[in-house]
Amino acid sequence: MRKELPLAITFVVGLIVVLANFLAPQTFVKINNEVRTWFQLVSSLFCALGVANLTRIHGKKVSQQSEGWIFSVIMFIAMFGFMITALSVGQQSALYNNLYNNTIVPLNATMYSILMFYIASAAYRAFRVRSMEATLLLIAAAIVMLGKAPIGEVVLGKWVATWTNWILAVPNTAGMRGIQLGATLGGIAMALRVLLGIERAHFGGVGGE
Amino acid sequence: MQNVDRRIIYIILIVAVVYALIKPMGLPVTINKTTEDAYAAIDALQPGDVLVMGMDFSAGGIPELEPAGKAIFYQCMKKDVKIVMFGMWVMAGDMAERLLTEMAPLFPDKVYGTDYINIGYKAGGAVLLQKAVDDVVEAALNIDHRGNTLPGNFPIFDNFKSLKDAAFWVCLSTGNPGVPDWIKVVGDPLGIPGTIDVVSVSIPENMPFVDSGQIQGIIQGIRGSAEYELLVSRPGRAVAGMDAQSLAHVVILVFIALGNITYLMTRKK
Repeated sequence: MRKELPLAITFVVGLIVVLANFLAPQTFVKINNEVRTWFQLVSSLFCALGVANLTRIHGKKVSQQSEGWIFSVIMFIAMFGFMITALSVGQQSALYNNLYNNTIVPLNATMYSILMFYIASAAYRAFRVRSMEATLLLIAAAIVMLGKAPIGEVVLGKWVATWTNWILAVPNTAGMRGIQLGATLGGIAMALRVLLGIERAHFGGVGGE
Repeated sequence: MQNVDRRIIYIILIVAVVYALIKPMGLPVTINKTTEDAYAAIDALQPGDVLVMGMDFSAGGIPELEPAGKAIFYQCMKKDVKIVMFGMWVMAGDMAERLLTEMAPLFPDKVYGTDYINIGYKAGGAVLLQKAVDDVVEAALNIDHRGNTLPGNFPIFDNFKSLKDAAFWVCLSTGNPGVPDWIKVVGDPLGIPGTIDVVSVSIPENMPFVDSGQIQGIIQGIRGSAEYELLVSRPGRAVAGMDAQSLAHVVILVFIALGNITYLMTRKK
């Protein structure tokens, strides 16, 4: 039953959701609405599960003083500090807002901004005219980079913006559409496999049949 | 020159960006048609219409998305269009609150709960949107980001019970869940027009939606935000960032060019 019960639940609930969306029989629609509410509640529970799991893993690191354990301590201070602050003084309090806006926001923004350096370094090393395809890629990248920054039009003229828009609207759209269609068809196939119990990796098994 | 130490590239980039921020060059920013289309679509809304703003981004997206979000808020408040803000991302409520903290004082006659409201983040991803299509307050679990009970005495919910009552939607997104979910759940099935404001790296994957007409224009990254700021006549951080972006792009292109020149010279030998 350990394997069969989750598979049966997956199949039944999945079938209800699919039928509620495509055929919309009233009973299934009502059950689907209830399932959605439960989905929201379970999603929230995942956060609690995440906190518990992080505490377990990093608690072990701290107790054993493994390599980098000091960062686990910092993680605990940050995680529980914010939780306790939010629960005690509220998310609208000046203390919480100051903490949030002066730590999480700049740190989050910094992590994203660091990408600029990696992209610059990667572009410098990767964009080499080794072949015809690589040359075309380089030319397209150069045109788009100049077209997206105002300096391109100022120095080279309006044609740079025109070509940039053409590259994004025509070859890029064509390629992305193909990729998205393929990815969607793959997603449908995977969903069918999960629904029918062929794919069981998410149950902790290894791969499917 | 083929293998310049990456730290040299980093230092030159930092110097270029900081220089441009300290001594702006004032490069002119032309308006792209896709940004104009997005602006025109929102400008066509009537007083009393409800625009739903999906704040589906985190702090990393602030430089690129927040300026356009503020400009859209400004445009809507000027036109007496109501705004309902919520999102599928954890930071949605906080991002909306940041925007309101700066923009709401510009409109002292506009009232929270009457002209705009921040429902915040609710769990569920795309399921949140699906529930909001039936009942926004139920999807919001009867509470907004500020802890107020919904619908409470908030008049904004008098004529706005579900996403079906929205006249327009805008998705500000840095990733997944985001644009495809809005199009799949709100745009296509309900026929409600909308537009998107995405970070630069997401522009290519979202262009098919513009081409097919599933969205009305697209605000393309920080450049799009700068264009939108100019369209509402409120140049701000995005316009200020354009010079820095220009110099950064030039630096990267110079290094690519130098690397290729030395590569070709080495190949000839």
